Amino acid sequence: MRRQLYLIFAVSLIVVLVLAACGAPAAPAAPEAAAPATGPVVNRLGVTLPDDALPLDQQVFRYPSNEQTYMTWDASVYSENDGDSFGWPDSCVRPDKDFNPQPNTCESWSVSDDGLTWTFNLQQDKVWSDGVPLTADDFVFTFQRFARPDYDFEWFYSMMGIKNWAQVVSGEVAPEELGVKAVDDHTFTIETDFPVPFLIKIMADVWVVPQHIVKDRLDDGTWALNPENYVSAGPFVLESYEKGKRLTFVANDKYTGPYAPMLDKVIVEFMDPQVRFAAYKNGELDAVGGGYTDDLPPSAMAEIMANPDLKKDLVSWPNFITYYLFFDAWNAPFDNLQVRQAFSHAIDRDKIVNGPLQYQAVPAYSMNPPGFPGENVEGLKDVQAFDPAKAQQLLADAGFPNGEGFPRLTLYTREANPALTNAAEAIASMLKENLNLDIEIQNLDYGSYMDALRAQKREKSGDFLFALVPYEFDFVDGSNMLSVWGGCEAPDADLSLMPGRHTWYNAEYNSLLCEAGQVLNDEAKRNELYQQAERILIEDVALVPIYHGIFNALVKPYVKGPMFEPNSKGQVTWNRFRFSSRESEIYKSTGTRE
Amino acid sequence: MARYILTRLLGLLFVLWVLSMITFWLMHDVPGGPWAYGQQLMSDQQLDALKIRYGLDKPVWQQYLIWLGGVVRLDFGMSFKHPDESVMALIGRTWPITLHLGLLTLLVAFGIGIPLGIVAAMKQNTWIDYLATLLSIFGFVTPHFVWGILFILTFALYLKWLPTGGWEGPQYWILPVLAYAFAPIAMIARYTRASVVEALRADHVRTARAKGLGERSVMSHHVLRNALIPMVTVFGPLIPDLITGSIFIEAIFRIPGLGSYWVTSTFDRDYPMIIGLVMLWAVLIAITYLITDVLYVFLDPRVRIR
Repeated sequence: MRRQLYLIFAVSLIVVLVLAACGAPAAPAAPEAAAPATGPVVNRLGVTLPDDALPLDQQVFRYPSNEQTYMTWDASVYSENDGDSFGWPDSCVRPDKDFNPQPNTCESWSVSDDGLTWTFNLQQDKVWSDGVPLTADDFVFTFQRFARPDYDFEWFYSMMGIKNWAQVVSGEVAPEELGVKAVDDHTFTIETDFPVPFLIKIMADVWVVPQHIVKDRLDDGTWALNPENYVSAGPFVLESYEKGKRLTFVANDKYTGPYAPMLDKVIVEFMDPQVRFAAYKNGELDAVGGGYTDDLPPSAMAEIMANPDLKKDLVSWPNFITYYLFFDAWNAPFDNLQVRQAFSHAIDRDKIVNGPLQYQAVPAYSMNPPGFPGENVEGLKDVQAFDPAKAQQLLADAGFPNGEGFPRLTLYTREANPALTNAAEAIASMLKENLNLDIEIQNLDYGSYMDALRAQKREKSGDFLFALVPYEFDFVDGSNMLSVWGGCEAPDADLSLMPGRHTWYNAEYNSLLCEAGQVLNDEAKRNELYQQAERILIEDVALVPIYHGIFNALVKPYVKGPMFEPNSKGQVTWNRFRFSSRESEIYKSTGTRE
Repeated sequence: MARYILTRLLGLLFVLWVLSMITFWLMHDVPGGPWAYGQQLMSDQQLDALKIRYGLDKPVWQQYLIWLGGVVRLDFGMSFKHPDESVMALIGRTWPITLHLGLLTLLVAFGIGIPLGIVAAMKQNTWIDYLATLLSIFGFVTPHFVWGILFILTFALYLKWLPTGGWEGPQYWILPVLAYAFAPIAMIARYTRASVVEALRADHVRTARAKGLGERSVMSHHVLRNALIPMVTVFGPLIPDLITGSIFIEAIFRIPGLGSYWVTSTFDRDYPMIIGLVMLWAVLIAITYLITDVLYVFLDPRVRIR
């Protein structure tokens, strides 16, 4: 009958859709076997690729990221798009595989005997991608830009101790008064108020801003979003920005620095973390994972470990990150050391690391993670060791036998990923089991968390007690991660204005960090002082470290290059954080990686 | 009729005005702000400078009046998250993609849902009806992101027919449209079946059959037309829902549309974007209901607008 036509129509619609699917060209496929070699592959910089390289048109490396707001660091470091380490204003120095600073835009440097003046010599023939020379004035301008009051991120530059820094940030003196001066076109100096032995390590994060472009657009961080204004000093330059879709970078043929690329293009595909693994498996990406917001989810790790084909693509290495519980040590009940100690002994880190965080973490008993300069992982591992009986005793001594009378607690997390939520739940159940405490978990978005943290420290409100958060290093030096908890005190500073972000204070800790900062050219001596300070931190239970992260990335086996050579600790790292010269150290091969 | 539509449109303006005030107050009342980012506390000077730059230092009522002044000139301000684009430009860039997806979905949803419902009604209580019911229940109870992931696993990873996501051409449309359409298909099929079953039982249908009208004529003139009235009520609101996008579908299939902004603008405290989207949504809903009401007049001679 005719009414069956409807059914036929419906069925045929489905069939048409499916047929359209079959007929359509498939997803961008992984590179096929190479065309017969017709001589060595040479890219647009004149770099000759290794013999087993795929043809130039296939030297396109694709990886995923989230879309952000800006294209450079000069407006905000919190919302810049990916590509900062290869397709943007370049850095002064670049750390090698062992995080020792190596020449980049700054060819050489020296420090005066009193430790107060640093001199940097720039690479002579360096130009921006529009042909304008990169000079010392650009660096001077860059620091002035970072210190301006409307720039949203000055704090680790503030650790450099640059003369007049605080005065420029607060608007008291003009940016020109900053202690960064050009000596000639290719030399600039930095004067500091006090010796800053680790200043050179922060220079790895000083990304020079093109003065000739930015000086007329100081109020507008969007200059680089417009391809007409965009310039790069790095190995790659932006070719196109398709909003919501991708960034395409192409090798910068004006580049003359030490990190000349082999690849022809790098494509940053915008996609949510949950869908990246599938896209990788379908050959739409060359690498996935291995970043703080980009790590492979636990479900993916389980699949990778069970699948030998995927497992051989896996690269794992330690991240310099510590997940820790912190307290409001200025208010009850956590102003009592015994309470904090009880918490520190009640959490079985091994169980968390072998359970919900398998393959993603190692247990933490210290602030500084394994492999970090000055770390004392071995020396501190017993201070807060898991010991439920001791924990119960301490809590009873503090006046809360079997948890009785203890206020009901909320454990806050900050934009938690699934792994962190799992860990928070495990911690809550351990505190219930071992101390009989009822803990509720609440996740806050960034804005709400920052408001609460701010109120806790500035106003000593005491209504935001207890949270589990990560801290990832900012520069690789023993001083960095400890600075979360303190530093040199300003004379007569109020408690709420003490260095450090948390509501914990220890005068001895601060003076040790301060003393270490005076030690020049003797990193071993400094690290000794940092170890003493860290012991105070852990013994006074400013924090309960829970775990240090492990990075996991999948990289297609046809991606090869010096990036995969191990460092002095035998580790292969698939990125070196934002300092990475990864995109300059890989190419696509006809063969496969070992 | 024209007078009726005009009155309704004026009422809409009033609703939008009230809604904008409530939204404006609510979004500024939520803790946090667009620049409370980062791990280290931003200095007070920095925060103040940013607030002054974006006019957030003024009292909320003043900010509202400034915003309203802009809206009268169709200027909804600049997005904080995309400071090189106005809210209008951002919606203008992303909404066409979402519309494209939504309209395809509507086409598929009605194209499959209505015939499925009619067939189920005509073959009431047969295996065809039961099968259609089963499919509908599956469609209803399974969220579209589950279909999305299942489709990616099946058609991209296992069969290797289609890409996992993106928005580059027709082969990229298929999976998101199917995943997105599943629930509407189910809903449309269920309501169509119910309406048609009811219309089939009506006296005038029996009369039409008794006087010897052909089955086709009975269905098209007597059953479907009457069945359409309750369906219009239900299906109208489906349209603004589908054409404003889904964060799940757009995230799973990497579609650069408007869908994700409904959620991310709130997380980013992107005030101009939040209120711009709320206004867009309100206008779409209001207009859909207006069109639905006007359609009644044409579908049901008993309805008269005074």
